[in-house]
Amino acid sequence: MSVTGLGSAPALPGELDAAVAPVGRRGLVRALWHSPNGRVGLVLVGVVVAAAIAASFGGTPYDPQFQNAAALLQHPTWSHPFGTDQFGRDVLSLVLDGLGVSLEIACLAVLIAGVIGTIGGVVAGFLGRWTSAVIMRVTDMMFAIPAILLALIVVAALGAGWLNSAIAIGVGYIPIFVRVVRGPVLALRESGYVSAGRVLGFSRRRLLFRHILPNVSGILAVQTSLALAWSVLAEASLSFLGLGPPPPTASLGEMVSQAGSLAAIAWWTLAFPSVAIIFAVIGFNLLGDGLRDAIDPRTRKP
Amino acid sequence: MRYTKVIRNVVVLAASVGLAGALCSSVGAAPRVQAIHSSSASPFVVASTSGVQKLDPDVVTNFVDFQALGLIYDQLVRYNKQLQFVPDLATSWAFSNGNRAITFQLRKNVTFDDGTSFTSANVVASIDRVLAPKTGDASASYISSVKTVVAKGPYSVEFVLSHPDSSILSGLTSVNLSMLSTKAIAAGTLATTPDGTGPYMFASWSPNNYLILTANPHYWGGKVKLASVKIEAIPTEQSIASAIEANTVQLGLLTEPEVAKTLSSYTVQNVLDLSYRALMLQDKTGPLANVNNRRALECAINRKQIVADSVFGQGQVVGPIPMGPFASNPVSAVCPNTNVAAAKRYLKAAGDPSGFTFTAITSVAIDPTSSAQAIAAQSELAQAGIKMNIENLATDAYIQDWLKGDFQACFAWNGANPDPYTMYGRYFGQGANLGVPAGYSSPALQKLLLQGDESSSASAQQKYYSELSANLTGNAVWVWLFTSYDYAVVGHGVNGFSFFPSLTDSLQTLSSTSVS
Amino acid sequence: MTDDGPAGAVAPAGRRLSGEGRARGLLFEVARRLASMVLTIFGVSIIVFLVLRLLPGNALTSALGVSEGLLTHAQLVALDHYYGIGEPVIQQYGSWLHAILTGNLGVSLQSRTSVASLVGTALPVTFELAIAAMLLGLLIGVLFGVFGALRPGRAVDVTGQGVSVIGLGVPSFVIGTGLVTLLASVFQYFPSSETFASLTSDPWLNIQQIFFPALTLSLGIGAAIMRTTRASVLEVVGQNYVRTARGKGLSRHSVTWKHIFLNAFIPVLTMSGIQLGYLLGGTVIVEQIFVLPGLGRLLVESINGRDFPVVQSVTTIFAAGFVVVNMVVDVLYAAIDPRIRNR
Repeated sequence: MSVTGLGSAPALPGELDAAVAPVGRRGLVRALWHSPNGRVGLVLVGVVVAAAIAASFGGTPYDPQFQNAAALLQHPTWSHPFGTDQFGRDVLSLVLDGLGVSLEIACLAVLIAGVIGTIGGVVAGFLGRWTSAVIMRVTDMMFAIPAILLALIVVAALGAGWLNSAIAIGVGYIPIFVRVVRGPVLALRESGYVSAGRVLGFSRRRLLFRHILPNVSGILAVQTSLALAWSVLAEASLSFLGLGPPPPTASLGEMVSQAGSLAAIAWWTLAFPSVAIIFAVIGFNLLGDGLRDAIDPRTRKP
Repeated sequence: MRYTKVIRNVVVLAASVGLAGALCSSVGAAPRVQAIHSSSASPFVVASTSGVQKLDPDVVTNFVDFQALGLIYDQLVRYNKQLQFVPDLATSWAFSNGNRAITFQLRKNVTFDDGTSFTSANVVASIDRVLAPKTGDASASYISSVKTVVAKGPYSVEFVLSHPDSSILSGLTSVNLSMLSTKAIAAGTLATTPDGTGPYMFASWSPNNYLILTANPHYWGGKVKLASVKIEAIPTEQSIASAIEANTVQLGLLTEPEVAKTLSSYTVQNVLDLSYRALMLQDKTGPLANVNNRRALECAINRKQIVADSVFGQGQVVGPIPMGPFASNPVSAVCPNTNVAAAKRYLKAAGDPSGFTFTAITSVAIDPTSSAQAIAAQSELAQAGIKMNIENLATDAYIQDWLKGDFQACFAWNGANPDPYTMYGRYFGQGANLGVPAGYSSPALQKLLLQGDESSSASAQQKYYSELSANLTGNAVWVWLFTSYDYAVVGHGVNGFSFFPSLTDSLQTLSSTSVS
Repeated sequence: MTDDGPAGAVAPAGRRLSGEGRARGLLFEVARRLASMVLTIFGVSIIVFLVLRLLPGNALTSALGVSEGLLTHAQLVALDHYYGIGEPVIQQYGSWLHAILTGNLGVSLQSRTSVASLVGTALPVTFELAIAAMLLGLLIGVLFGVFGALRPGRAVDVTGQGVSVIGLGVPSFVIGTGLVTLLASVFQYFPSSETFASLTSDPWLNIQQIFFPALTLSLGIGAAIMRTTRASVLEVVGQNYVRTARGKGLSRHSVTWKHIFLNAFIPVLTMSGIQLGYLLGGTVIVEQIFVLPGLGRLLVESINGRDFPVVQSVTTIFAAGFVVVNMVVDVLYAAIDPRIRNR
């Protein structure tokens, strides 16, 4: 499992300031475009997502599972730009399809982690000392168990399958969301902002939904993007350990781990799925960086 | 200040020199690595993806454990390359009393690693240990017909059987039925310190990592040329291939054909794995209860295509008896080759020419090829109008469902044996303990199995067992598919190694292998 | 990194502690952290214990598979007793806890050797790998990060960005497998396939065996550290006090070293603590490819074999390692960050 823990850093002081001043939506996209990282990230993610959506509507050159017995392990040609694998399946179609599967798993995983983590983080930051202490204690414990072990155990318990992979990966990322969200919420609570609101008679719920959550949304967006990147890699690692979704569901990670033994005689079976993974991971990482720049008031153009 | 610039430059320079040096010396290290392994003092390394998990021969189940312990322990009889029985610690044997007793004459001048001599007392003690419930020896079922074991003299022992049973010879070749030292049994050390009569002796063990053996100077079978053998676990087959190329492994045991393919400059020996793939069917309810539907299934399936798709063509289409003197030939009494027209005829005879639907379970965790097999079968069956749904299960769910017979069809990977009674007595024999997963029973099958087992004449057995094969496939009890290969990649300079198609004895030629 | 809020211990603002009060405060702080550590490790062991028991299958099915059907009833009873199947969960946890507290880590169900000896051979390997990967990662990350930021857009920066792309985007098993295949087929060089040599028995072989897996892991760490370092160096270079220092007449180079390193170090430190946690998980993959007999490999095999005593102990060790490293990082953080120090 690659060790990109980029987004897992606790809120650095600069991010806190940023969290207090939310950004308008149109300004966000423009800000993203201004940041060089964000620009590249946006493009890469756009390509990847477009490819995945196209694949899920059947927009691949061949049916990914169609086995052409006459064209086994063919190197890239015009009819098969990415070559074919040992069963005669078109690698380009497989890669597009695999992108869809990997993104599906990643999105579901991040959804699980994001929803549960955000709820946990907000509750921990907003409510009293004891609730907060208990939640943070549990989070610490989840952190202390290596993510891959959690994933191994979840998949061993639930069996292999794309849904279970997503759950396994999502569970591993929950503590990070909790930590990341709790920071700003706590800071907001400590600042005069919330107390002023209480004095004015706002209900807790109103404070939560109209004031706190919008301020956290910037950080959440950054973290979501980074979490997506991490999830794609985690899925690949799970497949390598034999715990990924079983065939015929071919995720990119599955393709890459199968290609390990073929790489010496058929480099294209390894190269193209790897490039697809790189595009997705780097794209989401850069997008996250761009979002971070965008919500940081210091880098925003006036 | 200027000196910080100097310090920085020095640090960068040192780092780059260090890095470059490491890279160069790593290349330069290559000759050194090779030099070490051309000396005779270093062990002969056998690599496999699994490590040796246990040392007690009676309880091992892992393939590598069988192969490794097969080098330390001997059995009463063993298999040669043609899967015929040859003497091991028993020099001859004879059935008597209507095949209800076997008397073995034992080899003299055999000693255990602890110094004690091998006599009939060891045979009695070893068999007793296998039959004791707390040992937990799953192979005890092979000798379930044994009533008592009686020492008739220091080098003669008689097995008294509850019914005539020639299959026990096959069982006695297994490492789970090895001959053990009474001293070691009494001391209770067999789980940590192996003590056998074989060509190699135990030296050290790191669980799941490596096992080191040294040559047995007192081996009864002659001089062992390799001073020491190391059985090493290298978790991925690509890494094993790399190790062979780097000359750090002399014998690589592989199962993936595409990896074996990349080692074109090495000798790759292949043998049939002692197992078979089959689509097991539950014949009690549903569309598969009708024998003609099952025959249609068997005819619509294209075994050669399944082999091509799931194991890269590296396998052999087989019938119920995959290997050995009684191997099924033809592989099926109904449709040895795919025949969609015949399938449709059987569907019509079954009463529904438009076909039927059923569900097959697979477990990719247990058999990684099962999914590819299922997908190939699915499209083949569709051509005859038979719709097969595929359900992939986790290991434990699959095992539970299998044991309870809770499936319509199941892509199974079962152990094989040259002896048909050993293979199928447990499924189709009387009082079969795997009768539930077997999903079929008939008195005719029981009779054939019994007749084959009770006779000890090869020609009589040939007759019964080929009828057995015809009956199993004629009634489409299951659909037998194929057996895959195991590969042994032999490093440069290794002489005299021949890979045997047997569980316990696959590496036995290591006793006479040498490295030049 | 603690649960006390983003920047460290939250003390009432504006109160300066006396020297003696500070020492007492520090002692209290350390004691509190130790207690918190023990609680976390204890909690982890309970979670793992429960989760393992929820896994379908047990050591018996794992060892025998469908052959379990061949066992007679008497055999099943005897084996169930040996594997502890069917005992109430609380009783099992109680006996495990009692054993642990008396220093007995249990016996592996699979290999019947003591867990302590299994862990004893595996732990130094993983530890060495983790340290080496961390050091290499720091080296790569800091060097490329600092020099890339000092000369943005030039050769060093571009190379650094390239390494960063590989480290972030390529799964570690691809890098690892690629490295092994390349070295073996082109150079006939695969030191990891020989028995693992410990640092004391054969240092040169040991370094060769550790270097490549550490390199594989370090690319991911290095990439992350590089980007943080680069960003904070860029930030620091633009900050006012650096300009002030240069205004004071200090030469460009002394400004570079002292100010940049000290201030860039803090986020790097924070990052490193987190990375080590992920590292412990990352060793699982790398140990498979590079044939290292470490904790990661032991863990995977034990989970597959439902070998509970081993999984329990190894996970607890991982948790303890993570928690200790975090505490060390927190302490260093508190010691270095002037904002906290001067409170």
